[in-house]
Amino acid sequence: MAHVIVIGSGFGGSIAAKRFTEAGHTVELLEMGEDWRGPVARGEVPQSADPAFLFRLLRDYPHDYLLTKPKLLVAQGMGLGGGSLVYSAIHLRAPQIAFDGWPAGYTRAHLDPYYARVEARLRVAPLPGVDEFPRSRAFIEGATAAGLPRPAPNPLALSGCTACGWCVPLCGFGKKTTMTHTYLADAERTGKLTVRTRRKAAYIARAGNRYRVACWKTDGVQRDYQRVNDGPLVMVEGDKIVVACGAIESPVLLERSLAAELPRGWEPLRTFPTARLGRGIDGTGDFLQGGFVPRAVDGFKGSVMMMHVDLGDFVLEDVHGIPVGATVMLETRPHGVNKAWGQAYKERFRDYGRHMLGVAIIGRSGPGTANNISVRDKGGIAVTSTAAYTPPPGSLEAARGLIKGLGGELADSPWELSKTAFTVHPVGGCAMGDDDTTDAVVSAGDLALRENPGVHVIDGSVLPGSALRNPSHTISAVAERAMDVILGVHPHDRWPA
Amino acid sequence: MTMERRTFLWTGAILIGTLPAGCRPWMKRDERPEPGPSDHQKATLAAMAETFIPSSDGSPGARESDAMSLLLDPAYPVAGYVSELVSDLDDWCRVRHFSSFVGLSPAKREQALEERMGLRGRLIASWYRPVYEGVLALAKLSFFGGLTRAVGTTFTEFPGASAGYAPSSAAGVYRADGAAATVTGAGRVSSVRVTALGAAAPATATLQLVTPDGRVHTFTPAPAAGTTLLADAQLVDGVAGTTAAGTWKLSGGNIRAWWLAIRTDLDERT
Repeated sequence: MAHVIVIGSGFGGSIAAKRFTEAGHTVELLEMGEDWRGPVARGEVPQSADPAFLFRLLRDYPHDYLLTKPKLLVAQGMGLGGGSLVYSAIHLRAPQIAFDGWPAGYTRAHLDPYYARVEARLRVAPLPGVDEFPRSRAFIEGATAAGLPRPAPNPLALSGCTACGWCVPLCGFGKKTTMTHTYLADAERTGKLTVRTRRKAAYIARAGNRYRVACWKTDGVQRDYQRVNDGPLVMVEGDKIVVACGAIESPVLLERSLAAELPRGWEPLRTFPTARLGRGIDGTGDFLQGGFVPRAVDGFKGSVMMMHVDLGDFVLEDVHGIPVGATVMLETRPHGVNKAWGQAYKERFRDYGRHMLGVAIIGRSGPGTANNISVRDKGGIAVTSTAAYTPPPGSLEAARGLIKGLGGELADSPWELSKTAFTVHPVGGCAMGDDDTTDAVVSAGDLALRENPGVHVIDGSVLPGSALRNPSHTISAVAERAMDVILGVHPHDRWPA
Repeated sequence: MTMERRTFLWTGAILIGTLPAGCRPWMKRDERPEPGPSDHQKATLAAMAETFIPSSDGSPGARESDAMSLLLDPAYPVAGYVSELVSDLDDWCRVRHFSSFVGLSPAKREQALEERMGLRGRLIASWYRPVYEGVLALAKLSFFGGLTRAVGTTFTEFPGASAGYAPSSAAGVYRADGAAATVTGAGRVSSVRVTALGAAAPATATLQLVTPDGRVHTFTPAPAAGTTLLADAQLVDGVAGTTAAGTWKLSGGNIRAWWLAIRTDLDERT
């Protein structure tokens, strides 16, 4: 039996931890953020917009101003459970067209059994009574008026949800079926899982036939980036390593590992293809379009995104928003209003909750802008850049048509105001490839880091491109499939059948 | 120890350059901690926040939501630039409008902020524009985020912290029309909170909330000092079990505007 170090506890890391422990291996799990299970169980988690609280759950990344145009803000979940703490619990399967150009073995048909396995474990189902919410009804009517396909309910990992709509910070009522509740709980039940929170991996190195990971102790707070990386390093050692820090942190961890000054007796990782390391990251076409509609949509009621319109290359989803999100974070303002403050602005937002309808766009980034984000390490901090980022073709027009179909008035977003975009769905950065793909960072199938047997990358960073839907479901299915290969349930020599 | 000629010359030049400065006490770095913001600086910050989220029409604004507690919180970066910000704004206002910022009318304050924030041309925008944007963001965060007081989120009829909603439930925030607020929807009340603004900075007042079934509940909220906020999401005892739907009334305390935040038995945790 092996001792496995899993770095990161999001969808990929949690699935790896469960599968390895259930196969009899011991797992030491390193997580940069905090463990929220106790506070949630004690009812101590605030359902709040307080930045001091949000900064403990979400990590945003500084971007390289010299290389970034337009401004693209990238944010990721942080804490035991990773992105599952802050996601909208949506589990849409990727359509077949998403897998064009992916390695052999990754088609919708190949992944369907794994999607089903994840759905069963997370108890995925639409929100009961989803059609009754005023926001759902408005979304359906707006889509119909705009000539779009009828919206379908989102499959959600919410169990016993009371639809209070505060899903984004972290469900303070324990109703979101996060990885902490499910896969990590399964791993803990084996007695073979050790969880170490507030540990950020600095680098990985070899020590004979084993691997070592040097970690910073973090305070779990990202407000001061340097402080996160301060202090002496802590060392852990294992037979296998699973890198599962997500599309931004995984590539820079591997980059740091190649460049690190190592202690005596440590050897660097064997050289692997780096041409695509930290490059080719895709933002999954994340965009938002809001508008004020005459009818009451009661935007606050219901889960974050309850329905979707399937348009092939992208989906539109009805998005709920707390007032502070639109007013402060997105600086939304009615079209034609030149400033987002003052008496008129305040009056306009008076009816915000009842009359504002948000439409989220998720899919394939615009032509020439897919896989266009890069990340590099800068003193232990991941710094992102992008040369261009545009919404999926036709998506803004479709979203605007839906709002106008309800007689609504469009709101300007940071995209119109300052060409600022925002993605919470980055994928790629350690792209996988078939054995004959010489520049692939990891092998398709077992997701092994090239030239470094025993090191696997299991998270959204291995995806070669956008899943065209909220990506966590596809990341989970790919992780389950990779674990089948690693554990011999699906022998690698039979891959990709 | 030997010293290269170049190092010797550089050391000498630095010593010659710094000795005179070191002999002059007024050129020494002041190691004393920065004093906190002055009364004038605080008044200027409060006036800026009030211009961003005004309460001049009688509805709540930055003052009622206690924006100052965020603006002066050292956890947020604005607090470190108060001195520079106020100097910049006052200098501009004295040259352009012949008064410090706090001495200007509300309309002139709005104009001055538009000028310094680049809304009337980039050439007259302030070098400290990011700090102005920071004050704006914190003022809005205080009001629309309800971090200190719930009056801003109540104004937007946002239900605030809640354990959840059933679609048919009467839960939510209701704006009163005069003395009465009409509540629609199903369920029996599990809690009721009242937010009320007085006509002037109020003293403690006793209020009477009349439920749809005619029962009167008397309570005495603690007003927010220096504001017209008479009650901020004040929990009213003894109302649980009442049918939520119907007409609710509030009286007492020279009330100018008020809101009800209702939760029902349909919304409680399952």
